[in-house]
Amino acid sequence: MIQIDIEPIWRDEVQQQIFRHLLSSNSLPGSIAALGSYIGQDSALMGVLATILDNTTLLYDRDRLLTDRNWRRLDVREVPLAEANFIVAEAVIAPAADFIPNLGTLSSPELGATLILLVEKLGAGSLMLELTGPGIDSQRTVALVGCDRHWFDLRAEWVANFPMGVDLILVDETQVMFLPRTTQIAIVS
Amino acid sequence: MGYVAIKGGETAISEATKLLEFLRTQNYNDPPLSLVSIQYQLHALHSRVLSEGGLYHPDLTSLAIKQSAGDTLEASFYLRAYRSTCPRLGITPVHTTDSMRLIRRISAAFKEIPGGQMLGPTSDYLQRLFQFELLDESPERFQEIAQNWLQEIPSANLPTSFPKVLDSLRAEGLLPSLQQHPQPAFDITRKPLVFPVPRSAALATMARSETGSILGIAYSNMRGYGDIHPTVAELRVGYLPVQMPHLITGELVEVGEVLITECEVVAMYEATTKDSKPTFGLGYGACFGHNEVKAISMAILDRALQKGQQQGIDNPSEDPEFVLLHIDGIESMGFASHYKMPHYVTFQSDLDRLRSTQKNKK
Repeated sequence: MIQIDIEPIWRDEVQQQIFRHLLSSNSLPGSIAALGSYIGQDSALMGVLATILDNTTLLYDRDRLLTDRNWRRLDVREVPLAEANFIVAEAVIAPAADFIPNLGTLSSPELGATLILLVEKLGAGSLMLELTGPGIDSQRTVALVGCDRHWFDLRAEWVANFPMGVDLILVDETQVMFLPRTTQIAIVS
Repeated sequence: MGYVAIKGGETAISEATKLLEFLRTQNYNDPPLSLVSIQYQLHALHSRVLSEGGLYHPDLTSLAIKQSAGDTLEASFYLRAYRSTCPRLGITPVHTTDSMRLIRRISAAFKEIPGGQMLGPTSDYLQRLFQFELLDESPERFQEIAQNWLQEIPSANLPTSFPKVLDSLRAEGLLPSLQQHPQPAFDITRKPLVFPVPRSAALATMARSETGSILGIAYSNMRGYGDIHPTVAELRVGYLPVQMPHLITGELVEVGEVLITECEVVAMYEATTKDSKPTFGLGYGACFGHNEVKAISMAILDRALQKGQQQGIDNPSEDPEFVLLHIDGIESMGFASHYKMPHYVTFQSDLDRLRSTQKNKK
């Protein structure tokens, strides 16, 4: 029998574990899930992408975070920003004025994009966010570092016409945090 | 009298879940059910969930049955939910069932068919009398049954694939010829059914339908709310080799095989155009697993739906909207179950209206 070594993030059972964490983080916005024990040598970003993307999804990679090999393995189609249902970007680089993701429509809000931002660190740092909304018992405060504040200004505009908007996933090297469009975010410091 | 909202939700839900687990394990001196036992000893149940879940995953099908304590609707729901998390790796080309490794094939149309009738494993000829010896079946006796059967296998290699009965009817011009360039299949897992839908959407919906529901509607046609009068040209059960394009070379490679039941019925002859020769109409049914009643019901309804489309709808079983929207187990179970969920506000509104109507009557 031929045995092929596949990195953990491409294995079905690992993707199921990551999926459960994403589901849980989405239900409890602002909670941070540690993926380090599943992803091996890969980053949490790649673990998340391997879990949620396939050859029917459309991706925009603003900052060329994906290697050629990863593009091939993901088997996802690269498209311009406005068409993408998934977007990856480095959070420390502020979005340009013409950065407008797909917000969906009133009749099809599910078409709103999911924005995946790579930050330096989740759970510690000088940028403090106060979160309220569904899935949060009164309020939750999260700290992070390596994220331009302008993302949250624009995000507030994008989600203003609920149910249209974008869902936000923040990842650092090994962790992930979900901020769905229903969460209200205030920058505390 | 006022209505008070129920309190203590989270703890109550958690305790209800524990109680459900206790219900399953209360006879704790028994060994837990193994997945393999479910797959082999409860193969009919396993087949049913495999097809209604719409995902060919025998191990997870067993797990779904175990986890749902044998509730087929719940078990199928687990498979459907899991399926929605799986990545799409590709789309197979159109498969024909000529190369199926058959374990059973029969025809009700002809006694003598090319390759012969092969009964295979079937309960068709059993009198429905209890085998009371199974009440206390010893492991030794259990092993003995299988071992005896294996010893009796003839040494000659018997054929496992056979020509299809329909091919001979088609060669005689009694069936319409095959469409050479079929349309891509409608993907019911990604697109909602907006009527009218293509035949492939109807077939896909029926293939993962709930057995009892599809049987019920097909039965209405059989009993008289319809006039299909089908003849089973061929019913086959076996393993279909599945081919996929290789990710790098693009060449077709066999990636495994799936157990399926396929039924082809011929019924009601007619001319497709004014000048053409009349031919039999064909009804097609196929589903994962070994489930003959479902495949036959599907084939009858496929033919009934074609009749409705071509000649107008005279019976419920010929109406695609009626048939296709009422045979899905997960959807219908979901609707029925939602009535258990709190409707306090709507019911309060009903109460208010009733009270004011009663007051006005005084």
